[in-house]
Amino acid sequence: MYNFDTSVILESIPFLIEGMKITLFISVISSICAFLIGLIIVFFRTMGSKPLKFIAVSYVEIIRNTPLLIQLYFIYKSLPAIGLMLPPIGCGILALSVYTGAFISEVLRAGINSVASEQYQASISLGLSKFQTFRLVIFPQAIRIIIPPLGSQFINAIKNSSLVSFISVTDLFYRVYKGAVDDFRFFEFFITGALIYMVLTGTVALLTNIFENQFKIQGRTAKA
Amino acid sequence: MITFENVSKSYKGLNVLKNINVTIAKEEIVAIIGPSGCGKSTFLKCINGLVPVNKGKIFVDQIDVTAKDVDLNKIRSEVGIVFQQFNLFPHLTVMENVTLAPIKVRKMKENESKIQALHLLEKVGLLDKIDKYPEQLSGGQAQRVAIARSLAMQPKIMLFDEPTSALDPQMTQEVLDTIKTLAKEGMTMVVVTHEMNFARELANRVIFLSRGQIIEEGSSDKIFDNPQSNITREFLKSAFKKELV
Amino acid sequence: MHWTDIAENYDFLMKGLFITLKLAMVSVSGSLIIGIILGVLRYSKLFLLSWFAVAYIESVRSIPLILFIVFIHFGALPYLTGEPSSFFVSACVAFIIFTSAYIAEIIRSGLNSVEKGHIDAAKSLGLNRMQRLTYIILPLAVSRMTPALVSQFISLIKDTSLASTIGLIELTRSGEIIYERTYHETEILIFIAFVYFVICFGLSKLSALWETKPYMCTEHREPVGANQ
Ligand SMILES: Nc1ncnc2c1ncn2[C@@H]1O[C@H](COP(=O)(O)OP(=O)(O)O)[C@@H](O)[C@H]1O
Ligand SMILES: [Mg+2]
Repeated sequence: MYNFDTSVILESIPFLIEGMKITLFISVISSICAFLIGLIIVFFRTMGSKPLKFIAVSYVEIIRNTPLLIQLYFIYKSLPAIGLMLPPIGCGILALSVYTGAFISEVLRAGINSVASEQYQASISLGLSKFQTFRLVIFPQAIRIIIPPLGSQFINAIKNSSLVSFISVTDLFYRVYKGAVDDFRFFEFFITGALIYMVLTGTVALLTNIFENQFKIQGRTAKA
Repeated sequence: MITFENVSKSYKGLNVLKNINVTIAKEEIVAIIGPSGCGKSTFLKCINGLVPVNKGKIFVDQIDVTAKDVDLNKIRSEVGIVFQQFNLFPHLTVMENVTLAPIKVRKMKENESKIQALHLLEKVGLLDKIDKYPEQLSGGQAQRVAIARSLAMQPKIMLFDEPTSALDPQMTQEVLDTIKTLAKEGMTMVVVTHEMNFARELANRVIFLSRGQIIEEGSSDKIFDNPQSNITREFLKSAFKKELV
Repeated sequence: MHWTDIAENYDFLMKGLFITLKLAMVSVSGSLIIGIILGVLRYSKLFLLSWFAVAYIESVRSIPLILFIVFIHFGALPYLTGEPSSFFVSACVAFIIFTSAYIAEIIRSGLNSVEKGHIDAAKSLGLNRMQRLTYIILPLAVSRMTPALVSQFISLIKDTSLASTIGLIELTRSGEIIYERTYHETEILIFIAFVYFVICFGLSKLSALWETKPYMCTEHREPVGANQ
């Protein structure tokens, strides 16, 4: 039977909490940026001119079909070559925002597409502009469908942020790994790390649920 | 042919059927009418065991379908049911929809079952659709395929659950005509319907259900021309008004 | 630019790609088997088993993949076997544990997507439990699950790049080895990204073809981005 040593963990709690803060910081900033990127991309795709559409589609397809790790390395190693010097944590946030943004744009697009095109036609026929239609008619209806998958994108951002430890950011995963190697206590550190990640992602899942219910109450009653 | 003995059914405290007693004879055609939510669908689904009852017994062809050890699949293969929403299998063609159960349940030879299917599809007027998928059919066509699918099992009893309420008037007529043909052939049928004129014309007997109870039953003339209960009168008044507009 | 690096190391990179593909194939097979079992257990509503499936699926889905890879390679497998674990085996085990949780959810939602009306119709025709599963539920569920399963497979292919971090010389690690020597990171990274892109984008286009079948019911598609 494995001899589980809780004292190692107790000693390292402050060390891990420090990492958790970095993980949270990266995830929150990246999620916000990713949401904005997603909005812009989806706007390009639905209302933009042909070249803008092409750029948006290419962006989404390239980002979605290549590994985050490669994108992260690319930003970390290749941007300095063209004179863009970012601290590692900046590279991490940039990569994670760009990556998550592509996925969020797909979530938003699916939500918008789920609103029947008759709604769009009705609204245009009433003389509302394209932008007004989007803001006043499509978005309020789409939001309810969008919230759950959006929540899971934020959860993914938290989990994916662990990759920044490979560009020398000392986030939660980095510290879990370091603690495990230094003390040779893999089980203790990994279980603790897993629990902390579960708390973080669980909180987002809970918030997602609350938001979803919020929109249900304010909106029409759910489908019959 | 079908007997309900003190049948009660509830969903989580909501009593949907309350102490139902009724007997339906061979070759009888019974129409069930009543406001929506009164338990008509539940009544039908009890007959082929799709819905388990809480109390009482139901006999179909002398077999107790509420018994623990009953072979429901055998009963079901003798009782056809047609649903409001057609429920054709979307991944199978019309032909495959009609032949699946005869081949798998009746162990009919594939050729035989295809020949039978052709006869049935001709009867419902859809010979030209055999290779189509359900999504490529209109509502009326889909419902007629559903009828053919049930008939392919050579059932002794046919149940219809509002077979036309998802259809527009013209398609409704197609489907009603198909059901009338069956009636002439002496099939035992229980039909839940909102089409009052159809019920009146077709049924030997009409059962009026309200809030899970049989309020009134009798010959169609009696129920439609001379209803005893106030609830029945009110219901019929609004039902016929709807049909006129 | 130093594109000749790629030509000079082409065989080495292709060897890496082969390992990547092998890893993806082995892992996807394993996770399909375990994922199907878990998904059916969760769908089954057999109290204890279904509860176990829920616990497994939900906890795996809330933990980063890299944590599994590193823990299994340096912690669990060496502890269980008493000797250092091979990179490939560790990576496979981690990917199977991780991906099977996602596949289980896809399976469950596919099974749940089969409308009650269709199941009632099948029952009413006298089809028994096994026949209903074989002829109605599975064909419908599988055709609806396929797009989500393909996108899970695409995620897995991308995820295999994480195996480079424990030292498995798959595509990403082969690239790293080259640029650690030459310092021409950009070219190698672009080339590797391009290879991943061709495979993943190709697969996603293939699966889009599948979605146009006439009887596919579009309402029950897995929401976009269940996993990346
Ligand atoms: N599976 C179910 N679970 C809970 N309540 C149900 C279920 N099926 C039907 N009911 C309820 O039982 C009542 C009778 O339903 P139903 O037999 O479908 O009525 P009808 O066919 O006459 O419209 C309704 O109030 C309905 O909401
Ligand atoms: Mg009903």
